[in-house]
Amino acid sequence: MIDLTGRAAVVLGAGAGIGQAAALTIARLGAAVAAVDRDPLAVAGTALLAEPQGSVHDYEVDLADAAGFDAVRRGIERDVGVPHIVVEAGGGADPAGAEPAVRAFLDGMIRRGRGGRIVLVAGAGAGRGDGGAAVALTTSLAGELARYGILVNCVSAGPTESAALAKQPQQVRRELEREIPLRRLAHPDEIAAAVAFFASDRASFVTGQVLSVSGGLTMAR
Amino acid sequence: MIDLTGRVAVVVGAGSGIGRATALRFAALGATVAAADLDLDAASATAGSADGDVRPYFLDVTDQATIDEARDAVLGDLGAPRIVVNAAGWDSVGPFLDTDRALWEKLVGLNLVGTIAVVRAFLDAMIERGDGGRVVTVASDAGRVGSSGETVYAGAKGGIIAFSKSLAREMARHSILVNCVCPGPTDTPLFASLPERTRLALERAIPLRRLARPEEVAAAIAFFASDEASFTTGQVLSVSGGLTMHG
Repeated sequence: MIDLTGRAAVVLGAGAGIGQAAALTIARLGAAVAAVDRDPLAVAGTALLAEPQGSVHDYEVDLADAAGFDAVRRGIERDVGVPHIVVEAGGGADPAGAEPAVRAFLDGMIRRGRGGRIVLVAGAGAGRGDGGAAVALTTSLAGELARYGILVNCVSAGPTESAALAKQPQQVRRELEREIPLRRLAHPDEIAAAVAFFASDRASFVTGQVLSVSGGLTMAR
Repeated sequence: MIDLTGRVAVVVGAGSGIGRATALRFAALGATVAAADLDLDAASATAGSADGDVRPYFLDVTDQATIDEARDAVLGDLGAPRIVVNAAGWDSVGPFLDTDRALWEKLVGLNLVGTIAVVRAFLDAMIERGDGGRVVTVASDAGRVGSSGETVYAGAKGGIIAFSKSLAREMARHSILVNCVCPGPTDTPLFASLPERTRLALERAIPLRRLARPEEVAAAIAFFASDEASFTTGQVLSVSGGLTMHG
């Protein structure tokens, strides 16, 4: 029922984990996806995985490199178009670090005048801190961009299956699982499903919100 | 992507507004829906306009006997539900200083105790079936950040939020996920009953500069009710055009 056909989407941090799952989910729902990551092999892998059922173009760039990023942005706008959806899922230690990258796409989105969606991924599952900066960025951006019909929301990921976690001792995993009411870790696809909901027309009146996908680990506020 | 085929869903308050939109949405997604309401004619009208299998039931959330009867009828007709939503709610807007005990008890009894009673009624059957489920409660932005003129209503809605989180913890072992949707001002009969001055002021305060449509709230309820939300429990999502943003 969620249909993103005809939409252009950019996913930052799409080389692995939640970002990769988000890129593949959004592509499967019909969007043309620009998958961006600093690791060229990883993001090429994401594009390959999408091939049977979706359109994913891969771009390599370090988000800290402003000039390099501008060139990539122009390439994305040429190849897949001005994005309707921007997902930030791994640009740095905190999504606030990816602010310039999100900023770079806003002019085009505003000029196009058809609104849009920004989804930030925060939290432990994204390999980040408590997500406080992401929440502050989400609410501030949502307030400023509402007039353009650009909705900004945040998915806060709890502990999530990942390559990095797989390398940790079993004891670490068991302790995490004990703290989570659902007694297991998230799968990246479960985080991606919430990202896709926020990115879709089904979430047409939701902005400035944070949804925790954590098996009940956090129920703040 | 959201598919409820083969699922049985109970929607209470399905005669109008958000409950009606939720019942219709669930049916369109393939669920078999028990649409319960205080106004049986309204529930029947919802069933009549559905694109799918929707059955009307009489239920007054302030009358335990009618809850028990509706539950027995639903279990007999459709079996244990996989999804339970209470969208029945009521408000009377005015200064707190002008309210009295009768009004407090009506607001808390209908909104908070009504939600508790509806959810409680179906849990045994859901647990017994053993394959998990979804409870979605409907609170309000008033319950998250307060709302003048709705003081007791806000208290009851805040109670629904805390109830939902605590129930989420107790039900996690049964894989029954409990989440809460908080509508802001929504284009419903309840909103239409407010004074025009209040309605205009609320619209101006919403960053998206319009009211929610009931279908937009129903979309969030459907997300929580679906397999897409398989790791989300104890959460609160506002569908309010940015009116409130919780930090």
